[in-house]
Amino acid sequence: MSEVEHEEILALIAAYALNSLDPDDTELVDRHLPACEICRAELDAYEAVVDVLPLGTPDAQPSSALKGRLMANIDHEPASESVAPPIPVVQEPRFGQRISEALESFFRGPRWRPVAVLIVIGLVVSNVILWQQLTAPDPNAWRRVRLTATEIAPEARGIIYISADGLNGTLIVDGLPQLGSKEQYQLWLIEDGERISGGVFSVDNDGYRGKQIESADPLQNYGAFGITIEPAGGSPGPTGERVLGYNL
Amino acid sequence: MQTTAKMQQLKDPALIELITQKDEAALGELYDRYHRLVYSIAINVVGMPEDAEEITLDVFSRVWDKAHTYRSERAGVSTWLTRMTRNRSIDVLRRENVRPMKHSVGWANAPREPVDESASPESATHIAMQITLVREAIASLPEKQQEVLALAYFKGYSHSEIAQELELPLGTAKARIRSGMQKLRALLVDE
Repeated sequence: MSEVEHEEILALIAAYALNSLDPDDTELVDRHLPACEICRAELDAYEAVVDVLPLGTPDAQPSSALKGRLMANIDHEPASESVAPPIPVVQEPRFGQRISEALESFFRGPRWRPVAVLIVIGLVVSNVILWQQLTAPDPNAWRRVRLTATEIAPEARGIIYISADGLNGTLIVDGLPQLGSKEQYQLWLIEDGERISGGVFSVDNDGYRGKQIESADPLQNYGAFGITIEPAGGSPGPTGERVLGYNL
Repeated sequence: MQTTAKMQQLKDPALIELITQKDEAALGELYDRYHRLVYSIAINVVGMPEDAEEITLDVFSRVWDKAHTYRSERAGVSTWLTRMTRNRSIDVLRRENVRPMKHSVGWANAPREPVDESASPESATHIAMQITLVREAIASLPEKQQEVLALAYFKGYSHSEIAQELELPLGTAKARIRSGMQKLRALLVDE
């Protein structure tokens, strides 16, 4: 998927949450989501919006008889007759239980005890490795960095999503003022006082833009970020006013 | 069976658990808490009181039959109910191809009364505050954004249908939905 396609899909996520996309766009997003943690995170946020919209519904009251109709219509059979039996839960042997079982088997001591010893050692080692894997940090976890607006653009908002492997990411901004044709916004990736351009962009009428970040080095190398106003096409270094920043 | 007063003190998931055991009083309590919200969504989608009451009946009947399928880790009980209601209502709208000529859709203006008068003061206050927050957030949007969001939410209109209904370019309809949702997200969801 190209950068442009990803940015176009980002712009569709809000409507997808509302279930108001046309079928072809829905299909596009459906195909994209499983492989994009950033779009899934955006979807979670917009679904949270959709879930509170009912509270904005104009109030209405059904007839007082409706409750009586409900209670008369429901199946009055007791739970033991009408509810499916619970699915039995098979418990996996716990770490210690496996070891106990192995040791109990060992001390019952048939002739093949040396083999049993090897089996027990192997079991212990494999369980230790499994336990380490289960408690290790999730390698699929991604990072979200929220940018803070300055007085130049107090209504602006910005988020940077950094992929799980720390190599790349996506910038999403909204509420930024539209600039004239001779100016654009520029993202800066900052580490040890050095500022590297992460890309130049313009925003739409609502101050919105979703954009993949351009970086030769892994994004995880940078501890700070900033967005400034620059001449159209960008600058080698920041020259204009900062509108959004993180850890600056 | 628990007394009415005790039932009123139970949180929603506890009521659902009782409903899985076919406790009719628990269903009655859940109905008392949410029947107005469910009916409000339904009537604002389909426009006809009789249809809205049938949908309300259907939603709570489904809760009775399917309570064991509820998963608290996926959504709160109220969200589960409202999602069911909206989906069911839009299905009815599309199946019956109902487009009431005089039925316009829109958002509430004034803060609403507490959903359940018999609920504890603490919970009623909390609900009232949430309602006020959401309504003020929606009211803060430009009217054109409120309009497209209402068509999307209450009528289940797609981008193309909204553009056709309002005689707008498709891109404009898309931009208004996205912009409205972004603003609501900033006000209601993001920290």
